[in-house]
Amino acid sequence: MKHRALSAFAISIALFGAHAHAQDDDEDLAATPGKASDAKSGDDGKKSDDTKADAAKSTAKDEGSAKVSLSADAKSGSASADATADAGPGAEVVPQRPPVYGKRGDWAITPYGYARFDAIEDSTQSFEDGIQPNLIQRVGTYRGDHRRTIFTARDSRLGLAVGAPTYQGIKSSAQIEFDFYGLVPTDARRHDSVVFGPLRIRHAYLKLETSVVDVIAGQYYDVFGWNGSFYPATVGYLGVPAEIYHRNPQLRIEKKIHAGDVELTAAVAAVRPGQRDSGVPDGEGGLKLTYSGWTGIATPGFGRPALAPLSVGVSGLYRHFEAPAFRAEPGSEAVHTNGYGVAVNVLLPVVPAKTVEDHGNALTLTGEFSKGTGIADMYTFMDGGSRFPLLPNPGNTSPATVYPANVDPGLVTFDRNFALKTVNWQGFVAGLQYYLPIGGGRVWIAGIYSQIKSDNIKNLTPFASYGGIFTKMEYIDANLGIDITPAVALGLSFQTVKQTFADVSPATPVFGAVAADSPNALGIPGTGGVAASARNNRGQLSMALFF
Amino acid sequence: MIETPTTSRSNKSRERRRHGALGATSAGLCALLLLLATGCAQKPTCPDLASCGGALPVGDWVLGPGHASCSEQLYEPPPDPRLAKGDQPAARLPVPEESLYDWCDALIFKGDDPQSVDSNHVARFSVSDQAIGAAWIHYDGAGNYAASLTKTGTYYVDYPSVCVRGFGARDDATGGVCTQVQGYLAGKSPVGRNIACQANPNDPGSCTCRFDLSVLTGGSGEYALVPGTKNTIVHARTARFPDKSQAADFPATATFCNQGTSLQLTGANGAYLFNEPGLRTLDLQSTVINCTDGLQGLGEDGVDCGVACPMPCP
Repeated sequence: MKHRALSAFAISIALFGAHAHAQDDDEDLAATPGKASDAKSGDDGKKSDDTKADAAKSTAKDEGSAKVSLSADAKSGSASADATADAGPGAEVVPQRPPVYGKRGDWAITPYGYARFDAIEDSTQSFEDGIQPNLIQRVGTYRGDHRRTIFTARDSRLGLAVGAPTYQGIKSSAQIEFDFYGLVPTDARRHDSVVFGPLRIRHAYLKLETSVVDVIAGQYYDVFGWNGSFYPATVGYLGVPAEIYHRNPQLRIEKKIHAGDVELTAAVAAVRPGQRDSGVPDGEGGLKLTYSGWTGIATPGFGRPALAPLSVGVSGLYRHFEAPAFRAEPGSEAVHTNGYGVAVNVLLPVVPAKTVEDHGNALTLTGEFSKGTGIADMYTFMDGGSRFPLLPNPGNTSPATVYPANVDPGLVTFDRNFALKTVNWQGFVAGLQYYLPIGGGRVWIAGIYSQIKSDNIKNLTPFASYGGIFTKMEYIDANLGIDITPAVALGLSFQTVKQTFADVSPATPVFGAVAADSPNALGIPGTGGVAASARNNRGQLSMALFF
Repeated sequence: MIETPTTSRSNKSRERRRHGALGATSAGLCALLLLLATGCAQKPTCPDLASCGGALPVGDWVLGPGHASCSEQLYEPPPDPRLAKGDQPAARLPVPEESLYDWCDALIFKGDDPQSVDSNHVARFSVSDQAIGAAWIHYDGAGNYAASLTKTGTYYVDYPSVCVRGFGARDDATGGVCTQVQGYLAGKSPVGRNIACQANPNDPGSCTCRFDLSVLTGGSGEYALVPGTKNTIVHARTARFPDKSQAADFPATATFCNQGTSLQLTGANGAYLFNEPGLRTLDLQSTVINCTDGLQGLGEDGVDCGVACPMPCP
């Protein structure tokens, strides 16, 4: 039995090896000068439509793969031998994977990223690393009255930027970037979720630049809000509350038009839908105008300062929702609604700067205004506490039927008449960053004020859940940044954030008396008292080395 | 510049100084960071009252004009009332997604049954809205106490038209649907007084009901001065109000300041008073229970009998 198992294991390894070889062969074929791809593109050029010829070529290609592989192996073997001979006996030979096309030296493959450390002290136990718009713990509760300390390196990043050689006028590139905020198992210990830090994709896309249009395919910043172009400076984590900060898998087409120092960028994109089961991708589009004759310095978050031209952007988003009817047995009855958003962004170099090396005294203003409905996810994990309501249970069945939600919470919900409605949000972010005239701008200060509010989330929430939603969130921060070396930055930040909940305190009772037997006229429900609120204050110390 | 041993030494010492300054700056920033967050905690809604101690507060105490209670605005998501342990999944089923509460508050009015499907619960108010509007605390000299705490206030419950009419209920000879709802709720909600239901002008067909709430809570048990202190008493509840059921509870400590005619109680070290969620302080005034006036007054379970009177009720 043992022998049989061993033989099976050996056969498996052999088969696996053969399969791996086959894959290598394919790669070699694709990678080799091949003349296969050249010939093919030549054929394309000639617009050969002879299917027989194509089939024949394909057969030849398949048949020839082993030969090509062999010759490639032989070639690489001889190259290695040559290299060994050139380097002399005893020299180490570094095997190199042949490039997909062109010469290895024509490919730009650049690792980049930063190692970052954050020390955070919060006045409540409400947040993980970033100030996300989850509910702040109230005063009078344990978590609302006690501090939390966070030490983390999870916001470190690692990326690879790849530039391929220009091919027939097409410039192609790709970027893959990770941080360490991957999902952790729900039963993971706090220690493990922080110290292990699973990887998370930030960017993974390819870009083709042609003389007509540019194309981006993959996960990249959303067009909506012109992510990546108008970020405020802060030591805290982006996105700050009310900031549109999102990346999405998308297929995007961009066109840049230049006129002197003015550049107009137009972009449209089909984006991963906010609701997968809507069956329709989101649509995003935008226009961005930049004037490079007036440049300042802008630091995106706690990144590196860069020259930034005067810029204005407008963008929009449109999406569709389709959900089962709000009933125990909806059959195939669906209800529909649509979401949309508009955003205006500005980057204004109030006191311009000429170079990155010397940007002392530069002052830059960034601003964003956004308004929309059904777009809460664009504000980094925000839902305001909104959920679907419980299904009524007229038949008193046990167990009670649960509504089969197929949309992430916070985008849509069912109103008092069980109609599908989107949740409205309106926000703005204003940021100011100033580079002191010390060491060419190596010391900077920055501040942000932002606010987001909803005018219908309360109307879309049953009374008893008022305390679980917020209708408004305000954020203020003040930051000091110091470049210890051109690559190492130290930052200190104070951030305060306040949420106003939907529940209100009752009018002050008449102490010493219970309710009198004298009914009054009806008032307006949900008003009359002071809205409950909660605040978190945060001190943050961050250091990063950028490479 | 040609580097000589002297310039090299001075460069090194400059570098050392710079690094020292960097270290000191970092340490200073860390200290500042701690200070920033430590000094900026949320301000309590209910500041602590005086804790001067004094004699044990034997006697009867009540809230009154100028003597208020203070509760934190807590929020506890209401549980699914339709099913015991409704938030817990059956084996091999996913945990139900977090939901908002039921628009119908578990009340659905049917045409064939003008009453609701099930409503053995008081119409559900937001927990955060509740305040202690009336209180009577009795301490005797033998180490027993009774605390009668009444949550009061005016509240609203809003039933959308789909809940009151969508399942067949109609206006009829007995009155409109809202009148029917009002009558039903009055019978089901002993803690709600002055229930009045009217159509919500913003949602024709719906019913908005106003309640004056009066929920009795609290309990009785034993109390004692915490050993080693002069201003902290511990309450050990053994019976719960209003049904006086036996219900042992964790001891609840409170600081006090007894000035003869007034008594201030504050949950010790951030604890809730008498373990009542949210209740932080009671500012009480002394009162006299009259057990011979032929009326049922404060602290009396019947006419001139009960906890505060020498005579137990029959």
